Amino acid sequence: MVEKTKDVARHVRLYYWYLRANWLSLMAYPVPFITMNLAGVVYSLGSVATVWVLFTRIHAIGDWTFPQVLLIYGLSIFSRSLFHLFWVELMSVSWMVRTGHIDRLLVRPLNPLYQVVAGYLDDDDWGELLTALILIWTSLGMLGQRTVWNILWILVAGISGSLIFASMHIVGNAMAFFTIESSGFTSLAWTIDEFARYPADIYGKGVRTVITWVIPVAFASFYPAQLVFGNGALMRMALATPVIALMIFACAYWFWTKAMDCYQGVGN
Amino acid sequence: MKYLAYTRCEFLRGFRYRANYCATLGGALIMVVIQWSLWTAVYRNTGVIAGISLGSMISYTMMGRVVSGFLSEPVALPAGKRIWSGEIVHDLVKPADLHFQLLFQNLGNALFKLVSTGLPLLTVLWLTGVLKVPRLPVLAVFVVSMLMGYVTVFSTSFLSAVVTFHTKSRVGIDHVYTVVELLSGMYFPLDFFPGWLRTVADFLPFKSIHYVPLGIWSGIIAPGAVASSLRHQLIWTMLMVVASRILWSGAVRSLTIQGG
Repeated sequence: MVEKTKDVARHVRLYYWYLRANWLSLMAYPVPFITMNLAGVVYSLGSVATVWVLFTRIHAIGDWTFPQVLLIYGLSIFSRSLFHLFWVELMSVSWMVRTGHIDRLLVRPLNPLYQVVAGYLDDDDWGELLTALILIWTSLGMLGQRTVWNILWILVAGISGSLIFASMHIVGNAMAFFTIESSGFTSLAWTIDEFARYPADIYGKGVRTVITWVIPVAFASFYPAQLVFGNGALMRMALATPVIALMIFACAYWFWTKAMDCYQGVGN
Repeated sequence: MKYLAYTRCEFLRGFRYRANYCATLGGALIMVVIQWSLWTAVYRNTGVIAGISLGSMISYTMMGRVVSGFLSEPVALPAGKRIWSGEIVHDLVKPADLHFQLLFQNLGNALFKLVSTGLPLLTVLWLTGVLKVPRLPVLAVFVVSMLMGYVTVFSTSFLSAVVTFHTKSRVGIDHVYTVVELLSGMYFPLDFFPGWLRTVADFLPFKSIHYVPLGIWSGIIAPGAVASSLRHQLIWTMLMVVASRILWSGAVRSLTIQGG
């Protein structure tokens, strides 16, 4: 137990150094970093504008009003951008397996999955994060719910949501250990993200069950938002968000270790 | 015509990746479910929005999913990468024009997406009664309009690539592409736009990409207005092709290859 705790503490301590190194390498060329991310803000605002234009004509999606839809949408891209910024290197697993680069991570005395994701901080998705924060701030204001507790809850929900997205992509990319090429699974995982953008109850019963209990992307936006709305019936589901996130992450991690056991190397 | 060989080649290349293909089809079905659910929920409490009924809206958005691959942003025009690596000299010494070569090569890729994903999707939507195929003359006009939409979407990316080549910037149209998507009517018809935005979108070439072909297919563009929409498409298509040629020849003249 003591050994285990020490090990975890070491990983946490090292993460600071990884982050520091990654951040310094981003800042080596500050001008491209800033222009890329300004473009990123415009990119996300483009999709926000779409929702806004839609609501100049309509009053509700199903039973949800504009500020409610905005909060759900904002939460979904908040979770997504947190995932994108800190976990994007997962997308390289297939390449690492194909080229044998993964062997380098396997012989080091650190968790391989940890090394994959800690090794890189994304350079072009900070704009999406900024947009998400603006959206959440605005919609909380419109709902009259801009309280400290709600903001803390949004943080918990965003981190949980990013874990859910990460779990999906861990499974998708772990397929590379079996199939070498996994881009098909990865792109499918990116599309499933889209379910989180709109209120989950617009979908049919079958789809809703799947995105709640099987691939729980509805917990990345729709359910946690219910706590802010004070929606009695769904509040308990909202509170389950961090638990569901940890459970799905545990499952994904288990799958990852099993998949890694099957890794045989691709030769030189 | 020699350029069609490029189209054929690129079309056949698509069939090499089977696992990817299944995932693409799965992704396309997911998008259909999302879009269908979204619009059904939006129309739950009203009959007509901005003069458009649920039926026309479903027809517009579902057909939008069918042709979305064909009319999607060309994935990273290879020209940019080939300039940095110096490989572009091999393209320039060929007895074929690089602009046309890319146009037709990418057409092969677009046709592959249409045949491999679009047609199965159309069949499913038609069999389940979600989509009705319009009468033959409308269908013919739709196809012509969609082809002009393709030239517009290609030219948008090509022009952006040429401009970034001149300015040596890293940011191109693909980094702000959601704006193009909105103005093209990919998410919903331009009839939803507030007045000032509609004026802007009506002037710009982007509505040629989705709004005009899909509006013709779904009947959202009234039969009386089809001719003027096609004229708008034709004028912009020609302008963009001419602009591409002028800027491209300027780019080739100032091209510096550093190693390679």
